[in-house]
Amino acid sequence: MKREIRGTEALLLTLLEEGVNTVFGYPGGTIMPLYDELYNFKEEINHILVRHEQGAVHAAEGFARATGKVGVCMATSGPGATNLVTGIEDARIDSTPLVCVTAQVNADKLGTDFFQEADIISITIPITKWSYQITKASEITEIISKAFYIAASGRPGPVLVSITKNALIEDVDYQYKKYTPVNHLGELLKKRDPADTSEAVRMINSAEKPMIIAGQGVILSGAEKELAKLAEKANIPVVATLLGISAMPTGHPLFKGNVGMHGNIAPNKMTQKSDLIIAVGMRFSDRVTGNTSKYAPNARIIHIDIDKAEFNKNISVDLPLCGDAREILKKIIPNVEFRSREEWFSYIDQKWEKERRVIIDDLMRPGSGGGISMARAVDCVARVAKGDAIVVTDVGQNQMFSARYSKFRKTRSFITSGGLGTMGYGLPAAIGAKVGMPDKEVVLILGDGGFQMSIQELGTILQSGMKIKILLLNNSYLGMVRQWQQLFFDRRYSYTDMINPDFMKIAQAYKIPSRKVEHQSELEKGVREMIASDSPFLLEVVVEKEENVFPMVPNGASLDETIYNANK
Amino acid sequence: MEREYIVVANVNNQISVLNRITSAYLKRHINIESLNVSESYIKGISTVVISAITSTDTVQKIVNQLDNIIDVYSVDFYLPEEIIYKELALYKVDSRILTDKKESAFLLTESNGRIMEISKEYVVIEKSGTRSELEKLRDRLDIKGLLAGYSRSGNVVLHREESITSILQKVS
Repeated sequence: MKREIRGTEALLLTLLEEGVNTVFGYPGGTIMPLYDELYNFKEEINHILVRHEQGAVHAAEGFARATGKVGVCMATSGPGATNLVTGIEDARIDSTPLVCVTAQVNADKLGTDFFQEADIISITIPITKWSYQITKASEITEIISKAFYIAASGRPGPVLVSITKNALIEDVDYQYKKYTPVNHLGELLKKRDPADTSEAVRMINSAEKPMIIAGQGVILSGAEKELAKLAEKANIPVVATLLGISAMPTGHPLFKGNVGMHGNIAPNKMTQKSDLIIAVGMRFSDRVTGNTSKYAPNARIIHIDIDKAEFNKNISVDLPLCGDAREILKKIIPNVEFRSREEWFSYIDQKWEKERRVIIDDLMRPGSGGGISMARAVDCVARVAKGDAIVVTDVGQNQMFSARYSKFRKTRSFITSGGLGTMGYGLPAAIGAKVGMPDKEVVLILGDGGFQMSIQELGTILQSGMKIKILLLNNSYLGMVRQWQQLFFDRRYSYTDMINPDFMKIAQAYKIPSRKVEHQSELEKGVREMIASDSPFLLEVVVEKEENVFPMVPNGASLDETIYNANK
Repeated sequence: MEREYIVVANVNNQISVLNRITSAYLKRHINIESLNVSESYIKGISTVVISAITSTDTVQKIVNQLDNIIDVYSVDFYLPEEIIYKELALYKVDSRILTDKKESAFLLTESNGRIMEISKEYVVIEKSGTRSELEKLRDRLDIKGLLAGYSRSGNVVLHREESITSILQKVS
């Protein structure tokens, strides 16, 4: 039934129809009519007031990554909209479904450099999956519904809807109709024919040293069970990309660690020795492949992805299979055969033995004299939280140590900025994850640099009372850049040392209980206190100043050229 | 090897689609040599024709990315010899040419030029053809000191085999 209401109400009613109950945002001049309407929807829509629009978009990303739903953020025109840009690009490159709603000046003032007018449609064209400027209230319902469909379907991504002020305040005959994709004639689009998997089955059954590389596509398509089934049925080891972490429990006997620049030794060496790589929902990022011309020299590659633009983009593959990872794995599983592959698994065990010997044992040895290793801090969280926490990270050494030493039992438990490597992502993303999954423990692991890039969001925690556990690994350095300066720029530490504020006082100012740990002997106690706390908590761990993340495949080197320590 | 590739896209006739398409070239730092957008014979669907100098590998990647644009219904790339394509050029020529029998014969018969307008000072000539044909005539007039203005459209194309309707069935 149609009824006449304001554009703002039509917008919020459409959000409700699309299943939205949480919105991250920040008000401002042009968007005020919408915020006025939100006042009427307090029961239905939980609006989280962030402290900077970039916080809103990262929080929406964290929400989407933790829940699998579309994240929603809103901002006013001009600076509100432009402050979303970094998060939108972060979401695009990491395939995170977002709907960003920004206000815009009146349609009749467009292009006049009106107060707080920015051409956000043009600005975001290269970084959105789709965008649209609504200039009439009558467009609102259809466009918002279409925005949700596009953000979540196929390869997910960010959508931006800019709404002119006149459209917000006009009256409109409201009638919700869920968007369905149609062709130019208005006919429903055909479903894609499922890919032919018979060749993949033949390749898998004849491989001696196969491996599965699990990317985020496994999680996005909900193929975690199928991934494990395929691995178990054909007895194939599984490794993860940075965003594929937690797609398979880290304790699964067939899970063999992470590939990439700071991945584990075994997965990288396996890549170079394997005769068949089954890449599921991943995009052969340079951080995964190293030197592409020397990547996987002995392997044939099956690439399963929903985005055909990814095939042969970075690495040429032998068999591209386009489609939903879950559907394709389901078709492959019944026909694969078990093989024992003793030699292959013994090779992998040897490489793990090497990783323990040259990397891990040293880091984990208690009382080894030096400062606290970031690895030990992360490992301590993994042990205390028993692999049940959602770990959100920032970017840099804190992220790589978290990826290497965290333990996971459940999917969607590792939330990090992969492709864009956005510092300042961690704190707001953790807020989004906690709002989306209030019953889960959310542990944010970040460094002193990234913390200060979005530290204002502590105010959001203060106001909303979210019980986020913050593990601050403080080395008073921009640690990853410093590591590269040490290794590749002759120790010239150009602008990477940080004079930091007293983080305990900052926590106190935001009424967040906190503790500072400076000695190894206090580490576990501090972590236990943090995890046991029934409130948000900041645990600052003063870590070794010049610790490096190893092993490392230097930028542009092949996966064979791993370095294990600063002496190379 | 780098050479001319012509990308033909059938798109939803809507604001910002064109910017999305050109942005895929900009992202890879590729200059667009010619661009034409016009409505196709199906209402609401425009055909975009872009010519650029690049490699097969790159143009394939660009086309894959263009295909992901929501408002692009279909897109493919061609070598110039694979499709029927034409451009239109207008030449502003010194009216002295009308008294030069040899040149005016060349212009109007051999080159298939057509007089659009005659004034005291200038004659405006219209000619269609491939870009190199159009440019050849331009250069000839220029060398003879007769050319006072030149403007060229982008490519209009028709595929030899496929029809638009058959390639518009984008799958979801």
